[in-house]
Amino acid sequence: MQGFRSDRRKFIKVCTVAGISVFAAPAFWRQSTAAPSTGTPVTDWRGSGESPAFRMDGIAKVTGQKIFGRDFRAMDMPDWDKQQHYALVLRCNRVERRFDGIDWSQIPSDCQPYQRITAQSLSEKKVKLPPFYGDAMLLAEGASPHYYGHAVAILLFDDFAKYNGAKQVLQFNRKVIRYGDATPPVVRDPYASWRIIRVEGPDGPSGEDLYSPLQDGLFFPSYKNRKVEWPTEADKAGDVSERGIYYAQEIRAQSRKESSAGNWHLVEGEYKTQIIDPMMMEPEASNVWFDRPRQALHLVLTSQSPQDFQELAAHMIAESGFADHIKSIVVHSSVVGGGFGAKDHSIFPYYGLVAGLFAKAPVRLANNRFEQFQAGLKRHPFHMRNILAVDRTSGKFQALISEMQVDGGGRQNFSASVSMVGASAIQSIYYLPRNDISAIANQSMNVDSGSMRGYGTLQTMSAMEMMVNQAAAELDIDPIELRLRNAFQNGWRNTQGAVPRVGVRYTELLERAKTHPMWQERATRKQTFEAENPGLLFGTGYAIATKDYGTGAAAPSAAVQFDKEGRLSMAVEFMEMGTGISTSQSMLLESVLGQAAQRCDVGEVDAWHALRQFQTESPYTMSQDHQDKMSRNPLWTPVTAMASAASMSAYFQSHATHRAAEILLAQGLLPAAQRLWKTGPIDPAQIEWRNSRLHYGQHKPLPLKVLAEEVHRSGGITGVMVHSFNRWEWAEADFELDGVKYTWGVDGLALRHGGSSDRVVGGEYEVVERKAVRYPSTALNNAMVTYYAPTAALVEVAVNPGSGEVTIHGLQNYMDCGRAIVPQLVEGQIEGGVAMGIGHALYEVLPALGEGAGNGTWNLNRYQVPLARHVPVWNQQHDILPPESEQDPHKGIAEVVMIPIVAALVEAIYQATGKRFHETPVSPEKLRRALNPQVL
Amino acid sequence: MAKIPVSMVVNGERVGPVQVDEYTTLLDFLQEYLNLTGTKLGCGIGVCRACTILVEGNDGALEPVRSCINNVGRFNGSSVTTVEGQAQRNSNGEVLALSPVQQAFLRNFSFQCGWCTAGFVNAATALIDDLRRRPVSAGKVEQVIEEALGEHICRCTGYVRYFRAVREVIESTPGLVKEAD
Repeated sequence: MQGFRSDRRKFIKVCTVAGISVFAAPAFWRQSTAAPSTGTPVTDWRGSGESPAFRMDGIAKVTGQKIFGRDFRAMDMPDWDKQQHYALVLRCNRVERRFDGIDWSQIPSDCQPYQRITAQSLSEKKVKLPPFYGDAMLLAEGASPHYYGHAVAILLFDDFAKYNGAKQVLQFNRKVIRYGDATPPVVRDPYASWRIIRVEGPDGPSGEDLYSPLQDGLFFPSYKNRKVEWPTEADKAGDVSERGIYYAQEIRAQSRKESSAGNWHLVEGEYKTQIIDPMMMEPEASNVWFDRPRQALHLVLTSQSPQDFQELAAHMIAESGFADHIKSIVVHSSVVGGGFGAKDHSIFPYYGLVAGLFAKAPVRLANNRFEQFQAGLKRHPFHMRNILAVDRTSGKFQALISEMQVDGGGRQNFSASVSMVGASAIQSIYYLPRNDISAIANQSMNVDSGSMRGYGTLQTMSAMEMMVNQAAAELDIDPIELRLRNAFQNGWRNTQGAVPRVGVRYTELLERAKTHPMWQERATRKQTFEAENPGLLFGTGYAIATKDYGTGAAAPSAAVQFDKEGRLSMAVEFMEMGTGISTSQSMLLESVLGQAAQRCDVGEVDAWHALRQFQTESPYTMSQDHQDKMSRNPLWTPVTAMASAASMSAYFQSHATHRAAEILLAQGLLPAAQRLWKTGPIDPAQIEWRNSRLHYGQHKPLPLKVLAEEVHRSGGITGVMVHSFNRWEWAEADFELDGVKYTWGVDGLALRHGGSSDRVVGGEYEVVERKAVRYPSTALNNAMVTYYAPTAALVEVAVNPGSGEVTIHGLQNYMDCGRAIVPQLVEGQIEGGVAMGIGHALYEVLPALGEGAGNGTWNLNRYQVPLARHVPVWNQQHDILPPESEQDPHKGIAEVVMIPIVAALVEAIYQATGKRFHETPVSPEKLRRALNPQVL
Repeated sequence: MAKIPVSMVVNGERVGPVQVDEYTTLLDFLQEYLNLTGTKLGCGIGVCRACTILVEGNDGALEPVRSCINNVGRFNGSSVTTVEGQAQRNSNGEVLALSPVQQAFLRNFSFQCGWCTAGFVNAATALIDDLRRRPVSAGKVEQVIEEALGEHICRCTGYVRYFRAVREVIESTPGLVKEAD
């Protein structure tokens, strides 16, 4: 394989878990950045313009290099056995009958597997799933399937032809799995329940609340017969639940009373979203080799969360019968061919791991698309009963009551947090003086749902926007005007009682749309279009959304370094998910260090051991006392590493990258500049980079190369590695360098002297222990979310009432992303988000249970994702707000971009047809039937 | 499982004869027998076009073909080009120069995750090849792009930048656009 050196040093020890050493291998795509050995390479991704010429990973992707986890075969892996084996998983396509074993005779004689792994095999070897995923990794004979698609066996084949032959026979085969007597459905208590009650206090939106989760805390229900029972005791002076129930009852009573009196208008309805498949283009795959003589397990994964996998897999093995035979695990992370959350904490890699444990050679488990539909994580369907109370005179929102039922499927995965985030996001861009929002994440027999793009917020905010559009129509107020009257302002409290940390510019976004010709002239445009196109119906819709981003426990790391030629290289912990993280993080260095990084290693997992940090309890549940006590240890941190998730890199990873670059500038380059200029201390505020030269007053500009040479010559600091922590605020710590105290927004620091601009190597860095640290209060765990980025969509559609087909004629997007790092990447995100949003609004849907994806017969011939003709390819406009200042943050936008188009389309359809939908998708079939009830 | 011998030219190099199971798809042949994994599996049933490769016809015309739904036997004696064969490479296989379509996709930031890129590169290359023989009027450029690429599925970027890039290539390449009909 090109550029992949067979070099033992490539495996770097990350940690030891339960006696097993965990190693990380570099992400594969780095190998492809190596310059050709002959000829002139085409590798100048940076170019000479303001924006990069192309994506840093662009050449590898456009020429078909092996970079994705699914690409790698045993022969590509240095030191691996070259024979490639193949694995196949058998899954139940029904749940109402007992699993009665497998009819092995269905497998052709010349396609026999050499190993059949069943629940019994797992039991004999004491192999169990990590608790996060639940139990019954393979269903035992005689048990009831927990959900559609429940795996029952893994078959191992020693060559491709046998595997392929068996798969052709077994896929869609209704005889291979035997079913016995009817069994009752497998049920359990809900995965989680949340309630967000808030009542504004006498001092208004920014004053102290009468009650809120941030101020009072959270309370939880009990479960009886699998159903939620909230406390009923109401007492204004009682405990958190009694006070909560008191105020919840107040909100409901007041809404009824004011409505009866004619003061408040209630928009009341049921809102439903569908089961969606993320349909990332690369189906999940793994290649696993159990090197028995060396007692090592090697894994190539397609995971968005390899760090968590490493740890959980090590525990899984340590507790199994293989514990004595495996001393190390080597995890190769790789570029992800689309994820959208489907590869974040997916259960899939654990099946690959088990296949590897039982196989005699490297074994490849690779879903085809039918299998990916059958077993891959889905987007949670939400069923909401909502009431929005609006003051008839002022048009101000008075209260929101929402009861959400969320279907998490057969395994819990992230259902608890998805339901919580969805509930906390329903307020969208609006201020609500009173809210009672509950969300229950339920178990079902559907395929499990996970952290798919939107993470619950797409579902709830779309409903909110539909309600706002309906309220505007019923109160005869212009929809954008109604939004302006209710837009959240800086300094106000959200539904949880927290004040967002990032400034919001909702009013500005709304004002822009209000003056757009598509909006102002919507009545005449409708008239003109319908006159010119008899039989078609025209409508205009608008919606806006603001997406929280962050997890409340973000822990990004970054390292930035230069060689004596002034070449910059860097590493970040965050992994490339296709969105351009390597490109954008490299570009961030330009403003601080005068150049982009020539090399950016994303998904770095091993270098950070230089920081020597450790964690203890969950950052979400630890007590303030624990945090205070542990903070005294200069190497402790609430979280050492975070999983890659959507919308996280622009803000969180950029913070770490910026801090590392700034410290490198101040501690490495400026002392050298001071010597070269023979001047006193340099004021960083007065310096400026132009054409990679450092300018400062009247001094002769210094090229980065000259500065770097001086730093290397003098033994100065040539590399800075940082770790930071954010719980809705950044931790900051005091450090002492050469007797001088500095305070930086990081909690871990390591420095390098000398060295190259190759890959960041932890061994070259030396930790600097902090003197003191200030972590955000653990009470902020109740705040849930405080970072937001908004997007809006103004859309024109034409509806064919005969076919129900919706054609998008014009689309204007609006966005506040703070400071865009690479505008082309932001625009690409918007366009991609719009397409996915169109899919959610109009096309994509999976039925539940037996007709759904879990039955194993779903693929793209039935699951309609948007094609180019469904998307405004040639006529899509973006209006990205210019940043308010150079200090504006880089806001996370990867998820919000797909949200507003959903409700905007539903509203445009209403404006065109007079039919109001509360349920997505508004598919052509559904719309056609609504418009033609007399036709079958 | 009956075996068949397979021989063809892939990216200018002779391959085979290789004995493979008769039901092997061209995609599996490329991936599992030749270790060419630039051609991607998306759906496996011919819908998404991620697996599109090019087959050279007798007249030299390039035909886009879905490798996931065509048995490898169909390509015996054919000349096949995959995404790995689009750029100029040195003797070590390292990239020296990209094709105009590849350059335009890079310049326009046409892809994000890149899984569908190989299919788009090949289909767009076939379109350019076709326009060399049968140029279209300027007013039909967008239409021919829609026809050539309209069934390809991209999940990250919403098609906008792929289509824009191909339009750029067509409009900037002499001989592809003719005076109005």
